Amino acid sequence: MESKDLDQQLIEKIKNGDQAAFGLLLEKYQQRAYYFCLRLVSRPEDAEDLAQEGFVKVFKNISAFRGAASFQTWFYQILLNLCRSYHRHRYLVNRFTFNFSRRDGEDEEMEQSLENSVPDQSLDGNPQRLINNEELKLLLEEALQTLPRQQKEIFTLKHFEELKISEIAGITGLAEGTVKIHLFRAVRRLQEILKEFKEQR
Amino acid sequence: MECKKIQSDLVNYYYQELAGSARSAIARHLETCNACRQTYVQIKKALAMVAKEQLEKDKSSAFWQDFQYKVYRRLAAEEASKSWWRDLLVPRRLAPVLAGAVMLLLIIVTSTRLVKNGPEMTSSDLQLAQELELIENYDLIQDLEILENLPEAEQLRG
Repeated sequence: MESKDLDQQLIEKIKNGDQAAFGLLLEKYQQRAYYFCLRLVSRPEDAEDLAQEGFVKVFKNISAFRGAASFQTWFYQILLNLCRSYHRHRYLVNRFTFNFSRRDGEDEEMEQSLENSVPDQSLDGNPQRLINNEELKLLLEEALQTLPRQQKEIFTLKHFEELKISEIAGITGLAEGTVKIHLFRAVRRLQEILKEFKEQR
Repeated sequence: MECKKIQSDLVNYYYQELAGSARSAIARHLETCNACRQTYVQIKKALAMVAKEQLEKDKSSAFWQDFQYKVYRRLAAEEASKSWWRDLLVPRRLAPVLAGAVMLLLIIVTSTRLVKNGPEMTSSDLQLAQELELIENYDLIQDLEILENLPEAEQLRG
């Protein structure tokens, strides 16, 4: 049985009050949900929280799911919206607490995030330390965090979640051509980092 | 010009988003064009470095059990809060009792006010009451009673 058909069967059962079916759906999608959120929000405890909230939303709104798109598309839409709300909230919190946090040196994470927002800073530091592939992988992972929001979301959905462009367009509400442009730019950024790394070695 | 178009499609080619003639056209071009082939190799290398499996190995089964437990706990909390609100907003079973209690309360409040304040009297009402009191106590009334009981009066009535 295809994954989509299995999902549809589980959803029908959940709609009829079958809690075991919800357990199966949870088991099937929990890892994907958690790692997807982790790639978009970076903090493990927040990713866990968001992924769990995603399942709560699925359960609460399952009667509204008509199956026009696949469950997977619907679920990613829920998770993506949760991650976007999370970023909006953090942006506002950081904005209003910025001076206070910086003065008292309490928000180290924000300092880190500000450092990360300067794309090439880690390359300017000490290139001799970046001597193997593991370090390059880490560098690329960090570079992903500095991508603009839409590029990061689309690259994550394509590269890690292995979704089709058409599915990503459905999840994000963007045209397929726009999705391709964001993906192209994200990959080009990664290429640039790889190139700079090689030049510095 | 052709190279520019090809290079803009290399990411889609890598992710196998192109099919049919578009895909085979790029494959043919890569065999002959060194520059585009180099670009494609760079794309492949960069994307290969962004490892998919890097994150997926770091969680134990205990973590996932705990994850599920937390989801169910959230759902239970959600359900409990929903029931609480429903009972508060739409108390179907308690509705008649609640309505009765409200009516009773209204009656108590209204009657207490009436007893406490009584009906309001105007100045003309007061004057009339005083006059009636005066007439009731008048001696003439008693005298009239005596006259009524006289034998002559009884004869006249008979």
